[in-house]
Amino acid sequence: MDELLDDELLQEFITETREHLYSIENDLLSIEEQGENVDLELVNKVFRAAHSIKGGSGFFGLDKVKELAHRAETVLDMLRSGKMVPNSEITNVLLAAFDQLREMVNMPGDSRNADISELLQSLNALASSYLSSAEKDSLHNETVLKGESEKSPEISLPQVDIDRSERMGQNIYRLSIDLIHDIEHQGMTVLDLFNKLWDQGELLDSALDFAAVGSLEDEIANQLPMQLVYSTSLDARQVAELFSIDDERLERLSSNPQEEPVAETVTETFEVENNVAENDLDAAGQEKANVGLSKPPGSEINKQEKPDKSVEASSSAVTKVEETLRVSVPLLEKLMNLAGELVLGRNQLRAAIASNNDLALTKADQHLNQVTTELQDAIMQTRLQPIGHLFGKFPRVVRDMARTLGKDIQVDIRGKDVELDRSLIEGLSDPLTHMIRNAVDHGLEIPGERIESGKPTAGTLIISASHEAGQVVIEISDDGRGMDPEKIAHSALKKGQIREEKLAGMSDQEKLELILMPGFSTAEQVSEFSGRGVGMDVVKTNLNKLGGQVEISSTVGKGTRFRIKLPLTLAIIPSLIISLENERFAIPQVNVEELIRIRAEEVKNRVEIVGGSEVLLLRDKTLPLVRFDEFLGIVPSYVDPQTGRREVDRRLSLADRRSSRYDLNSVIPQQTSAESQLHTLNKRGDGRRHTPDSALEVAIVSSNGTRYGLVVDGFQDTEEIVVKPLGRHLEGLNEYAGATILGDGSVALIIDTAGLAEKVELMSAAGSQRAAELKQDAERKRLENQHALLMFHNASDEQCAISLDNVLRIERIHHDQIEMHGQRRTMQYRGASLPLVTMADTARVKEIEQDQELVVIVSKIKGNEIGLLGAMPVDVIERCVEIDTVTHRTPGILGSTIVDDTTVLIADIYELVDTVNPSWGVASRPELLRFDTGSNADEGGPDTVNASHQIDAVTLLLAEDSDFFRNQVKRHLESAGYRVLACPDGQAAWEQLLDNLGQVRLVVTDIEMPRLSGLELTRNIRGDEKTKSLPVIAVSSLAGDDDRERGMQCGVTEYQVKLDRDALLEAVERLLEESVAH
Amino acid sequence: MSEELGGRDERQLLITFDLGESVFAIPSDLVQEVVKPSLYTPVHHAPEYVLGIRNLRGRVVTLVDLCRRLELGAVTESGDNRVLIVDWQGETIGLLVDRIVDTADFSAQDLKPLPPSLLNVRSGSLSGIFRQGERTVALLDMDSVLQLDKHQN
Repeated sequence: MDELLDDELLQEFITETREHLYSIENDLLSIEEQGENVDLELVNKVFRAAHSIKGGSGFFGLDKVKELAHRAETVLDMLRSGKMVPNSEITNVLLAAFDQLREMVNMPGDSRNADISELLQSLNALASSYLSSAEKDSLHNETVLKGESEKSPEISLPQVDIDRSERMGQNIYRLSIDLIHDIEHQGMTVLDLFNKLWDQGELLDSALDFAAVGSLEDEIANQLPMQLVYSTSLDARQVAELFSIDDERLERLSSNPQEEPVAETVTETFEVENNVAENDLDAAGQEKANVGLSKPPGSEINKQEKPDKSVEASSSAVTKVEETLRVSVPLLEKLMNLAGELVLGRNQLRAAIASNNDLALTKADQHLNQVTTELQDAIMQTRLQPIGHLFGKFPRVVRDMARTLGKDIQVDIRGKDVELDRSLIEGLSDPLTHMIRNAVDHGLEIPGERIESGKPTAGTLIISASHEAGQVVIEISDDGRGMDPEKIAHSALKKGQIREEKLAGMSDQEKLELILMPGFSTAEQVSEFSGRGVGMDVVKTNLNKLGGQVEISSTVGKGTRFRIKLPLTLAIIPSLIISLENERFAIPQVNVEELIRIRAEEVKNRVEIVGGSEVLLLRDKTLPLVRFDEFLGIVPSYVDPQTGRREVDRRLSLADRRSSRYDLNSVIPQQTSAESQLHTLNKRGDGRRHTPDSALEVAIVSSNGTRYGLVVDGFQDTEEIVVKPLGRHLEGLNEYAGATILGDGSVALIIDTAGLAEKVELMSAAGSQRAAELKQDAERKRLENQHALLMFHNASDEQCAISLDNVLRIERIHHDQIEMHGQRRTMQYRGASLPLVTMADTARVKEIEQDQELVVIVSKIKGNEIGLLGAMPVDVIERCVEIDTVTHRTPGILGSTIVDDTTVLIADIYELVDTVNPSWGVASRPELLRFDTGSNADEGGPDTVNASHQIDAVTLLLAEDSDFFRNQVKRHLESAGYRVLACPDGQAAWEQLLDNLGQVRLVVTDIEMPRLSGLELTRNIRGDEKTKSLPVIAVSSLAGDDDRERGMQCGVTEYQVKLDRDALLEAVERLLEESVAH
Repeated sequence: MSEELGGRDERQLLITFDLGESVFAIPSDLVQEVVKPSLYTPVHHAPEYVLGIRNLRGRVVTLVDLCRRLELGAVTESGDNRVLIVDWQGETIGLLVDRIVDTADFSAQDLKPLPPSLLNVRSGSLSGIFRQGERTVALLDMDSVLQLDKHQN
């Protein structure tokens, strides 16, 4: 009989059946999972699949297939009608049945020899266990149906089928259709016929009438009638119309004949539409029947587009069936259109050649060029398949394995829609399956073990696909026991795959990667599932063949993650097209987080310079900014229409410069048409790039955890682009992921956001030395600018402050407590007379007014307490402020700073006291001075410090990078009568020291400084014979014991924390004395 | 070098073209087609001799300024400029030249060693020279011309 069948037909049936079977697996698993709340539509889908297989296999005489499909269908029908609640036992049997079906369909010739008795028994047992005895009988009983005419043969059908038809209000017909005249000559295939039948009813039985075929010698043997038993809700007339057959070949069968009015059918349809939740097969069938009737028979395209079909239709083609490939109808139509365009182009070309018209030739060439490009792209698209096709089979694999191994595993599949070239998908199948088996077998623990380690009983296996940085990334991660790098290393060592000394230098990551070495397997014992034959090394080799890379990360006890990066040479990625000058670039949409426009007036507030590079303030976070034009080094240019080459556009850059200086509107001439307005906007956009304070278009992009803002000229459309690799001469350019051809035929580069970040050192900055330096700089800045200030008022509108270090106590007093002694103020305080000073005594500030509440800020200077008069309110602040030592500098005021938008004058209590009452001895010059310089012992008093004295004074070297502290310390030292050589860093200090050897008697240095740190300076000093005995005082913001320790180790004589004037002066004096004594 | 080649007596067709002052040649079987220069997209950060990339019927082709590659300056723009589309080790590359001159029937026996005057060409780029009528033509060693520089990448 096989010979009689058209091979092609059978092939089509097999393909279709495989597709049905393919989707069934996951559907059954879902059904099992849903249990009582089973999705009827899903059960229906599986039921229909079983049913289709049954119908078709009858036609091809595949009796065993038919029988098995029939029994499976029965069970499914019971699930559908709620007689059975899905459980794992039912699912198991059904899965096994469908497996068997698949096997038989794949080898139709051998199917008759297959042993399906056991499966049939299981299915029967399942069905029987849920049925009443009467119903049980219906499983096996056959009922004889009679036709209307006397002569037609009787047909016996299983009672179940008849019951079902009746339940659904359907009629059963016998049809006779001639495969040659009714089908083939009408341009249809048998499969079309089946599809039509299944869409509008149920095919209960089919058989070829071989008697009618006749022998080969027969001249009239030009027919191939097929008998069909068909159950449908259509009436006889509709059936006849649908299949274009006359009444003779159609008769209604019934055990209890009665005509159903058509109207009733229609009513039911409406009910069904309002009642989707209870949608059932019969209803679906009717719905389709009504739709189908209004359309001409054989409109196959519509069939393809029906969602329930196309979902399953596309599913199996890639992984299982290699002979055929489904192509979406819109794509096919596009190809058809392009083919039409191609013909048009050829005709144009011919005409042009014939007329020898150059212009026409050029036009034809352009046309053909574009059409061909598009055609090629479209054809490439036909090869793209969603990876879901491949992922779809994994839940079953995992489920089956988990059952065998006694594990409980949840599979989470993500990114099914990611499209990959079908060759890639095919190539991925084996490696991925192996990795998943590994994860289930070795990675995830049995429930008991999981509970012991405090994990949920069910393990999770996540299989995901995504686009990233111009690549497709597939991740397989589990929350299992993880891999122990030490165990892996041990195993590799034991097998002699690696030498011990090499192992010693390996990181954990490298040890993990040992599993990719040939012949490696961590499986303690060879199990049924993995660890035998194919190991990870084969996985790796296979993936490498596809151009993929494997990354492993694993934490013992937490789980393992494999990351496979695949090139997307053929993958299509949605991308944002950005413009810069005359060029366009594509950024993969996955890397784009958001697009923002910073208005010109906001640029100043939102873009700051940190460490020499721009950062963007975005919702309280700072992001690095990359100016794309600067990154590329683009200068304004245009394309010369004649040569096709790019030229630097000087005119444009002039305009830019002009526009940065003048009002933009004045430079751009008034234009009226929409197009020219657009042009104007673009021009203005161009101009903007060159003015620091114009608006910015920023794409916030991210990749591998790095986020940054990319400043571009403008955003264009998003396009689905086909990635094309760059040539070998452009290989090193990691900032590009490839190139693509845009709709107009021009080429655009694709930006690899990760590569770009690396290139501008955003990413590497994290662990780099530069980052460390920046951090140190920032920390130093922070420390140096960290000031604790006691805020007080002088006159009510004069905010003043004094360093908290100088403050001993604060007392509130009344005006009448102040006693005047000539120009000097004192007050009784703790049984003694406290000298008082005010800011106004020396500085050009107002006097405190009478009505202000007074405070006295008590400081201790050289053992004497001094009070500074101020006014309420007082406050203590501790923050980073820059101190301006120029603007408000007068004696008594060391500088000013801005706190909460108010200028604050900072009092210098030493200077105040010095000026007001030098007799307090604050600035008494050290004894040493006289001793040292000898001759000027009688010159000047301790209260006169001036330049003439300093010439002969002891010279000190001061190294301090902070202007503020340098000035402060310098003043302190100078006020004490020393001559100070102040240097902004260690290197300058070292040079100064070498220039002034013999003069410099002592060095005061900061620790953290650029170029040469204080520690290095000290080492230099100690390391040089001429300077090694110089006393060195380190004055630093670094107050930790470690810091002190390090300083001492370098040879610092004394370590002080910034900034105690008295302590510093005391130390200077003491050390100078000591050094003289030596 | 000429001895090596002298051993063979295969005749092959060459395409000759101008680069600056001199005439160069490459075997015609390497050349798939000759096209006029058209719009191309510059690739920033690319080696200097790479002009950019262009679309050739759906393929992205790297455009090389052959003058720059041979360290002879740059191709002078003119209406005679042409791009030789060559297939080199499976990759399609466009070579921009000043002007296509002719084709030449060439036998390896005609190849002579390099004269010193041509030695300012990027070293290793030439297989040798031969006479074609009045002119001396330099035969390019395409592997050497298109091989990536070692320091590249």
